[in-house]
Amino acid sequence: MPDALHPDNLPATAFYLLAVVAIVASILVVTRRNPVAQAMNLILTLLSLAGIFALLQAHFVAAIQILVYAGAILVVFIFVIMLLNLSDEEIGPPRPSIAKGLAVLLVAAMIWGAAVRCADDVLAIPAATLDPGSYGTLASVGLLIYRDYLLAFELTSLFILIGIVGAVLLASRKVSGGGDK
Amino acid sequence: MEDFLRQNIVLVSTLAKAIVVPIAIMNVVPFMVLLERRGSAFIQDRRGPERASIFGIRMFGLWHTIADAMKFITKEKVVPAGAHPVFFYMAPALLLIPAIGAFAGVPFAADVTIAGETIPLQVARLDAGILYAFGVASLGVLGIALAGWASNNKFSLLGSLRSASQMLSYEVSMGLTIMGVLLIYQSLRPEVIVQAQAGPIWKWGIFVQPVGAVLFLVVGFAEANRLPFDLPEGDSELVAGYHTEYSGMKFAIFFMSEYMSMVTISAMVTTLFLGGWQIPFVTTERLHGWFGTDVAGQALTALCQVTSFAAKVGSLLWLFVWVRWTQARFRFDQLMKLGWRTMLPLALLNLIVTAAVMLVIWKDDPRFGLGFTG
Repeated sequence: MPDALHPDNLPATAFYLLAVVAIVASILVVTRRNPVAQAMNLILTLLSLAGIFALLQAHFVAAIQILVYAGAILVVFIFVIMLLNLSDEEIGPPRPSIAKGLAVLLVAAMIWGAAVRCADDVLAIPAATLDPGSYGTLASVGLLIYRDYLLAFELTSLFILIGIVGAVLLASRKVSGGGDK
Repeated sequence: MEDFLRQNIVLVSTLAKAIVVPIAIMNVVPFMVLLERRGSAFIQDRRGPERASIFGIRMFGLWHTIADAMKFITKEKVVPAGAHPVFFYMAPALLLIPAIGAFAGVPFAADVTIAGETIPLQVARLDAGILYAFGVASLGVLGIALAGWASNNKFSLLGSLRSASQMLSYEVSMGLTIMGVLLIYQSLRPEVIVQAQAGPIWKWGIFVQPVGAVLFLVVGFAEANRLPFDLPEGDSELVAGYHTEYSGMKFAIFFMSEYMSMVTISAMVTTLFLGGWQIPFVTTERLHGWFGTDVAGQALTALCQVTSFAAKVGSLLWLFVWVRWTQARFRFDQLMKLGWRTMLPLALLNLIVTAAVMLVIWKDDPRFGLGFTG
């Protein structure tokens, strides 16, 4: 690929690099045995996705992806993993089974089918339909969330509230039969 | 060569900024170490380290930091038994990269126009620059968490667990404390926020949003893991917290990251609340009037503004040192109580009051015609 570094091709080159990193890292998330290694690979996946969002002019989504997922949610994951701090013996050796093999085959078939079916549709979207002046900016995303899809957005926040209340309820429940109160 | 420079001025200036700015931030570290040592001595009525001399020249103790660097580089590399082979080495870098990277969105002077091309004196001009800076800065906690886990040491693990919970708790408040200032300046772009603070000093964020400014400064101390919030490495309880097992240059990277995140947080406070590179009462236009708008005049203007920016950041860095040597460390429960029961409600209150006032004052402003009323 001699033209990979040509200024016109740089976005495509960056996309393929980020896509390869995202796919390899997400496979490693599933195949690694060590939970911390899995979490770190998940972070790598999320960061490459943020890069792809930025390439698609969605700077706001990219920033939020880093801020919320990589910076907050994954830190909570790692916090919990470290509190458990499982040793290699507790994790145990990999246990291959027929069901897992079948699952891998099914997922591969699904991805292949989706790629074949969607490739033509995706390539047919003309890039010129996106207005680079407003597309993906904070203002346009804000208008979409708080004007066009306000009801859906507020319903989502209601679901999150239900989730928080549920977590508090579970955490405050007394363990019956335990020694201490 | 001159033709090449003229044709590719944007490319060359971008590369120059991307190289010069990180190096400049890194070179703040030795001076900060000097300031910390001599500053603590000044506060405690001592003389501090100043004896190292090269041919009788003492440089106020600056040689001590150079001796430190040489010691760090030449020290034996110790890796504890049972440490993770990859993550143990990766952790210092994971802390250093966000500390430098978050600075990319901060503007340090007004735009310069050379050969018809406008060159922003800011490494990266992004649509959501503030969000980018906060996002990158929030990744720093991963390095600390990983360092504690990969060291295979109970004290390190406890230190990094404390750090993860502390930084997460304060990150929530950090996002909320700046909301007020963002509402007033109507932008998430650092360069727009700085431009809005041009002219008289009372247009600065600290006068428009005093509560937000104080809250953000406190949260900034917590995010930089500085006293009184340095529980991740509370020496009396945890040896040295997450970097107990690190020595030599790997420790030096943790050490440098702490100072660089202080620089980054000071730069953010300056941008949001202290007018960024603005000189009080002296706008860019007035500076151009004095010096002219040719290349030399623009260079002088930029120099004045960079000096103003550096002076503000430097004062805040001195505040970090000052607080460290006068305040005692919090207990962990006090830290959590302050974060969740004081900072968070105050930040929310500040946001609600600001939003209400804005709605009343500017309800007829055409910029707010976002379609809510039809």
